[in-house]
Amino acid sequence: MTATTIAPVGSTSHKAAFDLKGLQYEYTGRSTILLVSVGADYHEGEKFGATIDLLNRSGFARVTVAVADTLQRHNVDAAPGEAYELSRRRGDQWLARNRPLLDLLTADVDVLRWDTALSDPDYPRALDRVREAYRSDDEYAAAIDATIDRFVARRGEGGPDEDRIWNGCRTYLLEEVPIIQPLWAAKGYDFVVYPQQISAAMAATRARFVDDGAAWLPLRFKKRRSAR
Amino acid sequence: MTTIIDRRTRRSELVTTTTAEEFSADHLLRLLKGDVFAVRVTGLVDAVALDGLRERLVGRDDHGPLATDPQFRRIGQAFSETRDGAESTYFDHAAGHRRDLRARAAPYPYPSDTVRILLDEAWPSGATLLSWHSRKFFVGVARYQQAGVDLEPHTDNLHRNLPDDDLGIRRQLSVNVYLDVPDAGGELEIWDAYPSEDDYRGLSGERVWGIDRADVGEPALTVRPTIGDAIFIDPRRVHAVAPSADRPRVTVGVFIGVRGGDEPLAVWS
Repeated sequence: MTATTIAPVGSTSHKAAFDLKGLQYEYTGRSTILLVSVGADYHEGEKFGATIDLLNRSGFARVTVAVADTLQRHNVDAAPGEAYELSRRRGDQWLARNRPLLDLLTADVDVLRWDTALSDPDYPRALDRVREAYRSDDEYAAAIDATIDRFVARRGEGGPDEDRIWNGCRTYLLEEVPIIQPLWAAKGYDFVVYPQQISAAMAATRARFVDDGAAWLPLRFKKRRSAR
Repeated sequence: MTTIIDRRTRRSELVTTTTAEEFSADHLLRLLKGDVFAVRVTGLVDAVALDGLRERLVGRDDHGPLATDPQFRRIGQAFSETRDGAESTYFDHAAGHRRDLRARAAPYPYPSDTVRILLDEAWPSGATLLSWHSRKFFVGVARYQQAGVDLEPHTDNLHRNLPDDDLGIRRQLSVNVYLDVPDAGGELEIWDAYPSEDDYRGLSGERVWGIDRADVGEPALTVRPTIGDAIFIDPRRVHAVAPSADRPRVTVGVFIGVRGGDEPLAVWS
């Protein structure tokens, strides 16, 4: 009698694909960062399970799950210490909740918390270069500001807290982009997987600071026919 | 030396002030990121303990010379004083130094223990004493910077402050607790410069240690400490202590090693 093994799947209802609009990459044996926004619906449940399935099908050799938890402290409406603790705790909870799905990954897997990314010895210099470009390069500043404007528009423009939200978002972006582009490219990651198209801020950072590596892999999700 | 401070950043924003009750991991992240150059924790040592500690530790003359530069005086021994091959001697004496300084401070907590508790409670995975091959480091060197002695601009770096082995430490912060500050001088000075090790060697030139003040211009931030406070910095930034014009500046110094965000901080001297 022959026993057949069915690989466990992360999602029975959704299927994920890279949304590359014609670009082609080879993934087998390559390394990727799976960037996780704690609290986003596409990083939970069936959609996140479908992302895990896609990574397994693609043949990556190494997947680093980057949990951008304390990055969110800039968006938490609380005193800095409290905002840190809350965002960190949400990261703990995300990891605990999604551990069964992460365990399905067939590549070599490690988890990178945002605090660890901020502690990287190369981070201060990467950040300085980005900040300097934001100050001195009008085109780059416009790309960063455009991304902030989009974010603020989603949160509701014209409110009494608009300036505070705008400044918090700028702090967030200027903290985020040096890590996700120049730093991760320098660490040898080939790709960054994320469920949205690259933002203007991230694309401008990539154009200025990255020659090779950390290519952006956006995702799209479809419901499987059988799940309808 | 390049200046990268955002023109919109006022110098007063380069230091953030908090209390032990409000201190959090976010303060350490802000230092690691470079958003601030210093974090001041006011009143880390409470008034009663401060009086007791000052009585026991300020005004002493039984401190020994720093092995690498005898014009600096200290009680306890920093690992950075250890010459290659003499690491074992440092570890042989580490526990004794820790006990000795606690005994001198008793019944008040020795400030490096207070710092360790502060860090343990603030950092998500706590803080522990650094160890190397199962040998514990000393932490909490008491420094006596005599009047007229200039702690010139310099950086501190893991590779100069720890054994060659990989101890898993990615970044280094430092904190000093102030037990006495001269009436004139003794200010902490921090420059807007975060040189690589090669750049630092270039800035040092032919000097054995540190950088000539004439080569670095004015500091971006000058902080006048208050006794009982603790001031955290990222010592990879160029920093210095202005010479005291009158009496010794007395501090307890701790290095803090940052591993990953899921691992405890590690403290040592």
